[in-house]
Order: sequence, then C-alpha cells, then structure tokens
Amino acid sequence: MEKFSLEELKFAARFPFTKTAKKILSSTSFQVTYEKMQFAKKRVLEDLFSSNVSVLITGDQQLYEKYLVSYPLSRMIISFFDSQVRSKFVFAETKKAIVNITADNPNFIDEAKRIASDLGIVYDGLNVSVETYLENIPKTPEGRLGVQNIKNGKVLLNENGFLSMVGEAIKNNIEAGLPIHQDSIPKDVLPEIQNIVKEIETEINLRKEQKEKSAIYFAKTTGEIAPCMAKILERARNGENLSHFARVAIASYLLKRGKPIEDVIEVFSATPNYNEKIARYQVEFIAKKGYNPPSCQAMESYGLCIQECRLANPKLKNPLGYGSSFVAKKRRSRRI
Amino acid sequence: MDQEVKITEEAFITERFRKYYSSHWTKGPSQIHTREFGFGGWEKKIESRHYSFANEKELNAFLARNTPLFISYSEAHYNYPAARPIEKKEWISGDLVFDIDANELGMPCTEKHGKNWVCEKCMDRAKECALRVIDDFLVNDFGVPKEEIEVNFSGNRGYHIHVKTRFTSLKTYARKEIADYVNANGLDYDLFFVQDPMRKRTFGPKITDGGWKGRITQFLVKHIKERTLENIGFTKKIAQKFYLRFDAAEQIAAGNWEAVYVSDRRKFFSQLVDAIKKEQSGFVDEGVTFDTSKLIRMPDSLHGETGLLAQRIDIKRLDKYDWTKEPIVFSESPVKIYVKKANSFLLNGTSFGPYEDKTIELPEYAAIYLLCKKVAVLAENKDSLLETKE
Repeated sequence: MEKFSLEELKFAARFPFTKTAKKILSSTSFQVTYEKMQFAKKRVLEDLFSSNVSVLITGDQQLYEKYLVSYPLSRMIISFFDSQVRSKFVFAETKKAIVNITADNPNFIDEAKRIASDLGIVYDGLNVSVETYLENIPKTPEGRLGVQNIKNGKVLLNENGFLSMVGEAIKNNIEAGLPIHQDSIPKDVLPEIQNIVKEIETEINLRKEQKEKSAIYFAKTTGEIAPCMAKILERARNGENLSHFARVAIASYLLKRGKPIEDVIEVFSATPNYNEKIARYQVEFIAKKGYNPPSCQAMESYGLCIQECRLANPKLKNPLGYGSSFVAKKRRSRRI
Repeated sequence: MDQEVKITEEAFITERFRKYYSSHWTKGPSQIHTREFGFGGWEKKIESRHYSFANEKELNAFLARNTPLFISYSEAHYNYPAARPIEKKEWISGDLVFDIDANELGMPCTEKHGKNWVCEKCMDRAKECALRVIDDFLVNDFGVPKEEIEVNFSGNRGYHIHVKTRFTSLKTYARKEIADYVNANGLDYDLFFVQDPMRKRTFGPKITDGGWKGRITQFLVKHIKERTLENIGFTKKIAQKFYLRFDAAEQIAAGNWEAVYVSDRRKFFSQLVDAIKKEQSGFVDEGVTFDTSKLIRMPDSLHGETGLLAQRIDIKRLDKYDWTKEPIVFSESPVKIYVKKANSFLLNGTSFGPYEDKTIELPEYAAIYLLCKKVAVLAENKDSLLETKE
C-alpha cells in the first residue's frame, strides 16, 4: 500500500474528484462502515436540499477518510435517480469545491491552480490555450468567448475568470461517469445503498409536497408580483446567472414587499457562483439601507422590463406599484 | 412507327457525373472508415444517409456504380458510422467546420439575383469572409497554424473551412461559442464595461486588449481619427462630440470611454457592434459549426446544383482562387438547351446570358450549370416542358 501524507489526504477529502483522491482511494483499502454509509447519505441530502455548504478546513485522518470515502458512495447513491436530481448533486458538489477553494483563503488562486494541474489543465500564469478554455468554458455571460481577452491562441484570464473555468472543469469531472451502472457497484455495499436510495426518495417526495404548499402560501400572501421581477425570480430558480443590477432589483423588491431576509437570500441559492456569505452581506446591506427597487425606466434601460407590462401599465413608475395598481384596478372594478 | 426516346435532364447529368467518377479518383476525407456518408439525387441533396466505407477504394467504386449527384460526409468521427439511430453511432470526435454562403452575407446583389443565384460580387465577399475566418480568427486569435487548416470551394455558393487537428473534442456548447465569436454575436455592453462604484467610473475595453474587446476599440479609434463615424451609422451630432474632444481617440484607446459624453451608452455601443459586425465578422452558418452530427459536402466531389467541383484549395493561394474557372470539369463540347429564364453568369472567362425563353448552344459545362440549376432543359425536351406548363 502506498503511503500518503495527511496533507494529501486532506486535499483529497476536500476535492474528492481529483486524480490525487482517486489514487488514494484505489490504492488504499478503506473499510466501508455503517458510519461512512450514513455520512454518504448525509452528503447527498445536503447536496439536494441544503443551501449551506460545509467547508472542510481542518480535521484528523479519520474525518478526512470519512469525507473522501463518502464521495464515491454518494455517486453510487445518486446514480439511482433521474438526470434532474443528478444534476442537482453535480451542481452542489461543484459549489462545495469552489467554496472549499475560496473560503477564508486569500491565496485561493494557488489552490485553484493546484486543482487545475490535477485535472490536467495546462496554464501559464492565468493564461490558457483557447482550446483548453473552450473545453471548460463557464456557461455564464461573463464566461463567453466573445468577451475574453484572446491573443495568439491564448485566453488571458483574471483570477475570477480562471476560477470560473476551474469550476466548470470540476463540474465536467464530477459529471463524467454518471450514472454508474448498477452492475459496477460492489455487491457488498449494494443492499445498503438501495436502502439509502429509498430513504432519500421518501425525503424528496415529502419536500415536493411541502414546496407546493409553500408556493401556494407565497402567492396568497404576496399577491400579484411584477412580471419583470417574476421573470428574474424564475431565472434565479432555474440556476441562471443574474447581473448585479438584477440581483439588487429583486432583493430590494422582495424586501420592500416584506419578505424576510432569509427568504430573499434563498432566492439566489440556485444561481451559479452562489456564495451564501456574500449574498447575505448584500441582502442585509440593502435591507439596512432600505433601498427602493429600481424604477421601471431603469429596469427598461437594463433590458429587464417586460414589454407587455409596460404597454398595459404605461403610468407605472416602479415595479413596486404593480401590485397596488392591480389591487386599485380591482377595487375600482368592484365599485362599478 | 417507333416512338423517339428522349433523355431526361436527370439522366443526362447523371451520365456526365458517372463518366467523371469513372475516370477520376476521388480523395475521401481523413479517417474515412469513421465517417458517415449521405447521398443526394435530382430531387434532394440528401436522399439517403448512414453509409460508411472502409477505405477510399470502396468509396470510389460506389461513386462510379451509383453516381449520386450530391456527396456529403460527417464532420464527426464515429465508432459505428453506419449505425442508426444517431446515438448508436458512438461519437468519438468532430472536425471544426465553417460554412460561408454567398447568399447569407446580406449583399445588395443577393436581393437582385435572388438567393439561388450568385455573382462575382457576392462570391468575392464570401472569399473575403473565408480569408477573415482563417487569418483573423483561426490563425491570429485561436493560434491555429495555417498548415492545419483545409479549405475548399463548396461547389456552389461559397467556401468550407475545416480544422481537423484541434478543437475536435469540443461539444455543442463550446462550438456554438466559436460560431458566435466568429459572427460577433452576444457582444453586450454589460460584458464589455466594468463599473467601479467607489470611483463612480466605468472602464471600457482598451486598444491593447485581445479578441473583440481590442477589435471594437481599434474600430472606434480608427473612425474617430479618420473622422468617418457618420459612415458607420452615427449621427452628425454624436460624431461631432468625438471630433471636438482633442484626445478622444487616445482616451478611448486607454479604456476611458467616458471621456466623451454620450447620453445613451448602451445604444451607442450596440450601434458600434452592428457596424463592426458588418465589416469584420465571419458570416458563418452557425448550424454547420455547432451541430456535431451535420453532414457536409465532400471536397473534390461534384455539386449537383452546378456541376462544379467542390474543389480543395491550397490555402496559400485562396485569395487568388478563381471559382469561375478552376472547379470546371466538363468539356467545351456544345450542348443545345432551352433556357426558361436565367440571370447572367461568368464561367471560364466567358460571360453568359441573361437568357429568357431561348434555345441556345452552350459549352457542356455552362449547359450543365443551367440544367443543374433547373432553369433550363435539353432542347429536345422543350416541347414536353411547354406541354407540362399548359
């Protein structure tokens, strides 16, 4: 058995999709205990349902092993679910990796470079070849090839751009090989994995019911929502990247309509590069300052205004007024 | 009395194509055994697909025996190119391909002669675009050595560019990004300008930047220096603002686009992008670049809509390539045809037409060109054509 340092084990535990992690896993016979199985279940549940990301900063050999082994086990578990659930898992694991790179780490770029090297990405400073960039191109507006600084076959990235590219490479790596075919799952762990799958299925169904109920509650309590804001909400829920302006607009709008801060933060949880700490800081800042949402004119100039709404409500000055004019209209029609 | 047997145009063309394929060796695409082939006839460009050949010999035997009028092959390499449906082919990799069509360049002449016809003007522009895709985007931006790029005349309306050594593992999303890059799509203001709320300033692209950032800045600076902003669609009022500021060009070159006040910056930038797009984008057919299961005309095969060869071109002499002469494979022997209506066209140094309701004798290659375009019939079939009309 090859020997690995604690530092290497820690790296593998934090980034279990890397070649280093695979090497440790394949050359060491870790015992799959009940505890490790349960930890894998916890990992999947956290990936599917929690907006919090657990960061592994320090620990002992046992903890690192638990983290490391739970990764292949969770991949086996998630392979029993449909592509939608699997992509949620991939997204959450990617986010976890990014947070592990960046959290409290002023030298995050060195960590990102270490992972890039491990994943076979060749770079020079922060520059990569156009081909490498395209193989790992971030699916965000900022990541588009047309806005990159490209010279002589190289994409000259800044730190954030480099991190986004590494994020995409991580995502591709986690995605690769999923779903694992049932025949490839070791027979000694298969029954326990199937049990866990059943438990997670029950949890998914339960959450679905709760979500439907809360959606009805949201509609009842908040009344009509301005179409431009509804559109931003929908985009956020679909995991699209929102511009800074759109984020400020939806946060200030929801806060002014009395939504609690926690609910507003939750809105951004599915967006790429979501960082709870940053989102919380910004939402709390907007709440503290009591900012009003941008005017309809500003929304229009940022391309966020919905044409139909503009035509139907020519006197509307601010999306906040949408609900009240709707209610007022209703009241007027009742009077008649 | 025996009834006279008339030869149809389809049979006439097929016979000419058969003679060509029987007497010429056609070079197939690289790694031919991994490619899917599709063939077309008189009615459709692709009538059947999912063919595969173990080697060039098999392909040439097939061409001489079956004489398709259109031959296409997959940009992709597959483990099982003849399998169907497509998932069973097992995609391995794919060439990066660009297709430039003269009728998609928004040229004024296209409006005059229609999309099914070409003239020297739109074909020259198509060649310009092909050269731009090669020199500006593939070589300068993407760093692809010229030796790794292949180019061929499409046989009809434009040029095809193939890169077979790099970018082959890219999936659809990344290929769409390349097509968008070459066509200058998605160049939005918000992605080019960074706001610094602390200093209440906006930083724009600089002249030293690479890619579209640098290209757009150079374009604006050039038009400020040459005082030609009006020529690219700006009003005199806006143009004057730039001309009056003595160091406008230098400021913008350094990324300080706010040096000149423009009330609607978004509109200004989008107008600028529209102008540069017309002048400097590649005008490629995006679907051909990003669709990894696409079939494309096989180089050095005959094109059933013109009778011209989809000829491979030595990239070093693309700028001198003469599509009106070099891809002609048929003879000067006269063929009598009846032309319903045809615009003028240039082939082999001779200008033909325009023709309308005319029986004429043309060199074989020119007659085949019109027959393939389906604007003429063999003279002996003129009556049957008129009968059909009646």
